[in-house]
Amino acid sequence: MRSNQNKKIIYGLIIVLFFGAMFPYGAWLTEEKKRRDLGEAAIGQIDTGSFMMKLFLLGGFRGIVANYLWLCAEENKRDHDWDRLKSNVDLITKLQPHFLSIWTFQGWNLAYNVAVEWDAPEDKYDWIKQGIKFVQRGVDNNRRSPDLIWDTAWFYYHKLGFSDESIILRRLFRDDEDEDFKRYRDPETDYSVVKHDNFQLGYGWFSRAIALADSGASRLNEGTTENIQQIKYVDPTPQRKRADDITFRSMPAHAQTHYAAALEKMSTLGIEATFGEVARNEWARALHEWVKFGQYKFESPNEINRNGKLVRDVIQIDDRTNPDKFNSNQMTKNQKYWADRWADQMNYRYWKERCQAEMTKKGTQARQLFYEGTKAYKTGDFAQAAAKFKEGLLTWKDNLKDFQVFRDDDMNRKDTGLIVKRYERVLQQQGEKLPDDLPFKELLAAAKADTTVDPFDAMEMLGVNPDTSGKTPTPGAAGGGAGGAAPTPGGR
Amino acid sequence: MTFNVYRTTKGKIGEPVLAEMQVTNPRTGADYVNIFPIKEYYTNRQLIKPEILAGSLGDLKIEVRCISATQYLGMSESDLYLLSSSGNFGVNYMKGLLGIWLQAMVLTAIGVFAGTFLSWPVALLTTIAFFFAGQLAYGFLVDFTRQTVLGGGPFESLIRLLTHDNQMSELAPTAGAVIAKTLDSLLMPVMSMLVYIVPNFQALDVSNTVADGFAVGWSRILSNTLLALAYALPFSIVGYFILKNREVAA
Repeated sequence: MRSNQNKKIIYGLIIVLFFGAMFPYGAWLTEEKKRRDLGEAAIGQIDTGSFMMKLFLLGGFRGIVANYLWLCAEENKRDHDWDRLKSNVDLITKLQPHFLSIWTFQGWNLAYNVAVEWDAPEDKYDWIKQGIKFVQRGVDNNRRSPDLIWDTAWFYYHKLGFSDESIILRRLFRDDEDEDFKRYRDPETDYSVVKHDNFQLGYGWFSRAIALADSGASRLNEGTTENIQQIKYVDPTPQRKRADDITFRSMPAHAQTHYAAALEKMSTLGIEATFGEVARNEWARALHEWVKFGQYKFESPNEINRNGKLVRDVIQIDDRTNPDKFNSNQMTKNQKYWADRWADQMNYRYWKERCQAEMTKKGTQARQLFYEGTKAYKTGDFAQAAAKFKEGLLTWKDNLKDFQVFRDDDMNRKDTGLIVKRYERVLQQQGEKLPDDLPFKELLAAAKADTTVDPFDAMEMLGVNPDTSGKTPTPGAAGGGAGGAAPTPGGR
Repeated sequence: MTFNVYRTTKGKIGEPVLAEMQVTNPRTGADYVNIFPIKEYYTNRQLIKPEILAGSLGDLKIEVRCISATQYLGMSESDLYLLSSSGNFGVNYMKGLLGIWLQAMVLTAIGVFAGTFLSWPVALLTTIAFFFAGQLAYGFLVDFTRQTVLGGGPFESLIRLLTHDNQMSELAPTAGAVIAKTLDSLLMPVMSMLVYIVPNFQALDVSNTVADGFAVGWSRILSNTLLALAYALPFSIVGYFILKNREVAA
């Protein structure tokens, strides 16, 4: 009896001892979590409902339920049951808020796969917005993930800016009164700003992703340069699901460049182009972004034996545009190889020279003349169009004389060739022929053979008389989104 | 009516696909034509004047054609309906609630039945299992009774599981596979009968019909109520007798 009591006392003491030890251990664990930036609060915003649901309602069944909801979501997509798809996807994120792939996968699903199923641009826009907001919620829940921020930027930049209906989607974005949707933190000033162009939003969010990656946050591994180095001897062609480091860092420059280029044409339905000081400033900012990207210090993927030690070289893509440095002995052979290769891969020289050429006074003048000439051509004012095109081509030639890479690049040849083609048609209307000494006349043959249209120019897609009243276009109404577009004489 | 739009070309950006609807009374020849832009996935409402129906003796011809060049419209039978008047949402909503209430009633009957001879945690798990089987896995169970489940019965599936074989290909006729299939053929008919113990909770739930904006018919309510009673009563009666035969502490 007595030994039984002793046993109970010993067991009791052991229990008390364990519990006693738990207190300092718990305190140490909390401290360690804080120090290593772990724990739910450090990852992102805590959703109380989601937390409780995970903790009490489902316990070990969470994975099964999440799987089931994934199946349901796929079935909803097959059945075109969009609203249920959205609610199922929302439920999955409540169960697995820190599973990054679901935010990317389902955000993409909403913004791309669901949006494309709807016919009207307003409906497409609504789903794209839902997709973007969805992935933004992912960012709120996972503040240390540069990839989710980059995805958000990509949806703003690519889905709104490069769809077939971009000219209308950009207008819907411009007229959207939801300011939170159009807000980003400016990387230069750190102010929260509201902008009305999707490329600006893309720029802001891309920059934020890079700033976060630079502050030490890790990107998902697939396809990054680090990952390629790890598997160098295993499999040289990894299945890349993410932009690699070079592309990842080039995107703010791309977004800013597209914003500047979009300013100089009717890239938003019913909104006139902008030139002059404003356009020049934006091109200057684009150049600044390209140079910032070019001067970023990448590591070479290969290791070189220097003084008995295997080291990786520092590669700056911008060196390729600096002949003094590139052709001197300041750079090693390996550095030259990678700077040249990556500059080609990113078409860096083109983008940099383009910004340099477009930011000049003559550059914006030529663009303005092209724009006004096209407008006159499309409204049948051929005398005005001929004068503008001629002056524009002369100014453009003069402007490009110092920018050979840009001048000879296919993209510029196509753009400029289109102007020559229009000029020729204008002269035909007036019973004249192209003068032999016309600049860029050699581009005419290729331009004539090319029958594609620029989907990002409302003037070309819908004519020059779009709705400029500032009202959201209503393609459902009679006359469509063009607001009764004028007929286009002779196509392009 | 609702439509799917199939575009073979992008057409003019932002411009909707147009449809022409012709409503004809085949007996009097009266007709009505209207052209309207299609909004995909929306209910495209078109008003038809009641005079068209006069003297039709219940016959009406409706033709819808796509008039935008190079584009097509898709429509199935249930996408077109004539609505004489809207029903009462409140009543329909209550019918939806009744469906959920019927589910709860059957579930309660199962819970009480299980509680008469099982301890409360086991009874709770049993009730949850019944709910999941009847609500989420009922389609699978029906496949099971028809013996159309991919990969065969439990024994055949076990072999596939252990050999990492897929569900599609036929198993090689080895002794083991033949024995497994034989055992399945003996077991499956028995198990198929057991499936019907699980109530079809999906059938009782009419909330989706309400959510989709359609009226729930009284006949459906009646059949669902009878179905619910057909499950709840046997469970309650069995539970009654089990409880009656137990020694109840004073």
